[in-house]
Amino acid sequence: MNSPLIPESPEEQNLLLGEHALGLLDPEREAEVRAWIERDDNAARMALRWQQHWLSMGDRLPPEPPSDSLWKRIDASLVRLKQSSATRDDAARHDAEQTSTSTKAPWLLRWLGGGLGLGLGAGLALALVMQMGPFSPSAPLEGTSPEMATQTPDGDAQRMVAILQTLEDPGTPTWVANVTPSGGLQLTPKVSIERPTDRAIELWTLTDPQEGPRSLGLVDPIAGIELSAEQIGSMSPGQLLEMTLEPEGGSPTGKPTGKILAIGRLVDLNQRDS
Amino acid sequence: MPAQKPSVSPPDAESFDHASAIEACARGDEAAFRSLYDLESGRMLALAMRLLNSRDQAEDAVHDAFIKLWSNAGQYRRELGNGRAWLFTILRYRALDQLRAQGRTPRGDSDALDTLADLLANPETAADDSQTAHQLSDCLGELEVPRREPILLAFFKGLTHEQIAEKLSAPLGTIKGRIRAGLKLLQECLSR
Repeated sequence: MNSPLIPESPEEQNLLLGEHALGLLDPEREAEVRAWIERDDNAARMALRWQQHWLSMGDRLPPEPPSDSLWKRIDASLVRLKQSSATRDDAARHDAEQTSTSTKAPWLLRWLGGGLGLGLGAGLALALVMQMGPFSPSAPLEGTSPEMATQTPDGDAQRMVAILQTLEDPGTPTWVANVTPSGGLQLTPKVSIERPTDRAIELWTLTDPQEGPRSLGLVDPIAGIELSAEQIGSMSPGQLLEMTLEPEGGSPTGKPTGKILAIGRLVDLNQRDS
Repeated sequence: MPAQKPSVSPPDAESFDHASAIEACARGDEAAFRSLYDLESGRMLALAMRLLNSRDQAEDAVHDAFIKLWSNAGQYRRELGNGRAWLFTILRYRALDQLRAQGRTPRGDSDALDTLADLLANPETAADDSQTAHQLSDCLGELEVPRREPILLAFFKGLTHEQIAEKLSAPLGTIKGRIRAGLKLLQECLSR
């Protein structure tokens, strides 16, 4: 049985679908109509017929050659999508198996980035962090208590930081991510990142190779972002952080789709240059 | 998938079997996916740019549409309709959703009516010379301008009833009535 928003008469139904094809329905009705099309073959048929009619008018617009980067973006997203799907299938089949490095996803290979200079030594990381503020690797942050610091299994406090770099210029740090003593993450820009006003910058991390990159939310390119320990979850040395350029509101797929703006790996400052 | 260069001469939209290509995508056929991109990305981008008034946003919409195509190709059923229409429906959903997310504020469309009138008046610019194209063009031509204009603004610019009313300086109820009446006439004309 159709919702009260869907008329009974076939002619009225077709008119409603005509308005839908033009994008004229209010959000509530639009959602109802999309759901109706999903479940009702006849509605789907009528909707596609309207679309086909209008397509013939759309074809009167001269084609716009896509930019060179569009296919690359689509291709990269497709690779991620396929790998994510394959990983889910694999996880279902081999629940207990540990993911081996030989089956790492392309996005993971990209993140591991051989030759991209992602392994900034802890010494450089430390120097950069010290430039930024009153952070001492041997003392807790001002206003915090030593017992709040992230503890290693042997009881030593970890001082973790990630220096994020661009792929184009791996030698230049763009953002610095500090793990706060309470286990949160503070991400601060070192340089301003240019982005179109209709795009968003999204932060990702990778903790579980089977899950893939996990969004940590959108980043203010000027103010940065601060995440609580609950938001970011557990962190450990070597963990990757990445910022990508995404459509307004964030990635539509739940995985990175756009250009990598900056990428880096957490290092433990207590193990300098190790 | 390794990067490939676009085909030098992609097949034309008329002879290409979109339904089979979409079904091939559902089976994981990347060459079919690339063929659809080579063939349709230019026209999809043109339509998305017309709706969104931004190349970046339009490319986002085309990107998302192709990823959705790959993900949902298994849901396409050729008995329900044309594969190309199905692909463009995905694009249109995405573009309209983007417009809604922005509050659907039309930008830079002061010449929209002139351009749309040109499109309607110059059938030689049409890429699709099918019977369907002639029918819709003919049927739109039969509509009086006050009924045709708001329909074209809705399709090409993604304007809401309210925005069309404001643009054409007409009461909202009048615009709703004209669009409804225009669609009814189109429906009748297209079924002749």
